[in-house]
Amino acid sequence: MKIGLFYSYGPHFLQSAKFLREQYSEDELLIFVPQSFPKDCLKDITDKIVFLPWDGQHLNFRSAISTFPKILQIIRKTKLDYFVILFESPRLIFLSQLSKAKHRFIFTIHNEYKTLTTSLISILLKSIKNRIKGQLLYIYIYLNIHLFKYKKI
Amino acid sequence: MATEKKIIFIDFNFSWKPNGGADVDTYHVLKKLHEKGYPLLFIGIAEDGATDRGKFDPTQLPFPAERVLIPEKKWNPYEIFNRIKLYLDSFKPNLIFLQHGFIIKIPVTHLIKMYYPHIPLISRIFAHEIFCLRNPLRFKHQKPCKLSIFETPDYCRKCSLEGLKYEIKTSNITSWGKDYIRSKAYSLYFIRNYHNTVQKWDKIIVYNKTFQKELEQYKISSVVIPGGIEPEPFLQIPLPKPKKDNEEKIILMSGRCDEPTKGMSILFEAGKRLREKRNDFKIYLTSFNISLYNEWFIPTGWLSHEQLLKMYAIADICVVPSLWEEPFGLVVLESMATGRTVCASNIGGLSEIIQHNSTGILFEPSNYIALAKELENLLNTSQTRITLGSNARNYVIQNHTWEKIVNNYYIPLIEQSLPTQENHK
Repeated sequence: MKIGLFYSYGPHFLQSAKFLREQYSEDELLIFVPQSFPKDCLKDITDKIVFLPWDGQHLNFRSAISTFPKILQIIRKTKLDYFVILFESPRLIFLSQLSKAKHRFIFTIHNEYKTLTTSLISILLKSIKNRIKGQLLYIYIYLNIHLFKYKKI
Repeated sequence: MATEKKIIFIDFNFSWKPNGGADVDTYHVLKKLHEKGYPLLFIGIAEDGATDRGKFDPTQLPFPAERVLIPEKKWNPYEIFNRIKLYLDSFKPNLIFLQHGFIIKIPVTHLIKMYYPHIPLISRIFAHEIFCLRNPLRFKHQKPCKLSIFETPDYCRKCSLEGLKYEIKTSNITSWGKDYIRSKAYSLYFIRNYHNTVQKWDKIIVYNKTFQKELEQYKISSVVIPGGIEPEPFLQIPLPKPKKDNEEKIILMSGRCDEPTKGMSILFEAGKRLREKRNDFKIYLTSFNISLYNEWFIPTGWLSHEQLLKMYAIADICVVPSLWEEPFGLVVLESMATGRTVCASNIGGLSEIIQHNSTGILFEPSNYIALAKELENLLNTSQTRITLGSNARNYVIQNHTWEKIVNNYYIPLIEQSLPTQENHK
């Protein structure tokens, strides 16, 4: 069985790698990391480190559009059985759905390992709803601050 | 002998296992007071679903405690007060301590004082939350901010919105942001009442004299109570032994190194500079930023308490290169208790704990050249490291155990603040 772990910047990355190694000691563990990642950190943990054409930083929308297909292509080529992500963000869920892996999992910041059930549609709708709500709140606070100024008595 | 009168402690952010120094402080102070026979009750307000606060099991705490769970949608000052009110009415305290809390503490104070004006209220300030609307660190553009809500309220309102812009727009809101929104801290009404509400606290406890002086400028009086440690686990670690010149030395940075305020980059730059001259050292740090890993700079990830003690045991020097005005610096105290030489930024509470060249080394904040120089001196002289470390350990044992902090500061404060029979009438 092939298990793939996708790197994200977070305190639980190393824990997740060690956990997967123990959990699936007989299986092949692949870890997808940014290109400049120090591979010595993962010696004795993984069978294969797969370097991605990405510097590990958060990508803005434009660079995400150009980088995402390249990352996806590399992941799909490995033909994973399990794909594990570290955060439940729309981008990572999207990536996991398109990864071609048979099963998708998340290793949370609280060190919980569970099946990823969130669908892309639901997370996108939630994200859009939150954005609209957030924008309206921001405008309300902005107006409050700029229209009602404090005058010292 | 402990007083017969009852004390209630209310905390808005408490978690155990601790999320930071404030939780550790609250836990140990209450534990000691309870052991000394003070009738007390701890109320931890917990927001349902929050991951960074309110996570504790009251039955596992060594003092009487209740966890008050509030649904996320109802997290507002009125709901919080209504829930607190139940305990205030049944427990009938003679003194209230407001422990760690962000901006929501202000409207809750207002409500408590409105309904219970006769009960003295003491507020513990753990960081810069009393001065800043943007974040409890009062840290902006990689440096400490000198402005305050008392002095420049309109500027602080704009600055807070700028700082919270991303989280508000995406509705991906932190605990600080949530308290800001639910308390309407951006509003003119909040700002107008801010100073008055702060003055309703009968006493304010701060960590250091710099805070105290600043509050004095705004005619707010406060008392300084430093933090402490439980020394036993640290005293188990033997003092470091002298090392030969070419023997490898270990430099350790512990704590939440990944926070930009902690100055990890300063240590990295200083290490790089030193590495050009010598290779008899390695730097270990409790960071999870493993992209920085190289043969001499080794992020260990987050460590358990036991793992951290093992790390201290092999360390020769501990570095605390903070960029923000640390109110206290628990990490400094712990490192000193292990008998390691501490090299820390000369900033905030750190400069009040360490006496330069006597119990540790202080260097100019954010100056990596100065840090490299101090580290070089320490790496060169085993004896200096051992003397400074040993002095540091003695200083901590004499001044900063929780037993001493509670006996010397909290008990006199409580006895002084409790209303006498006449006052009460």
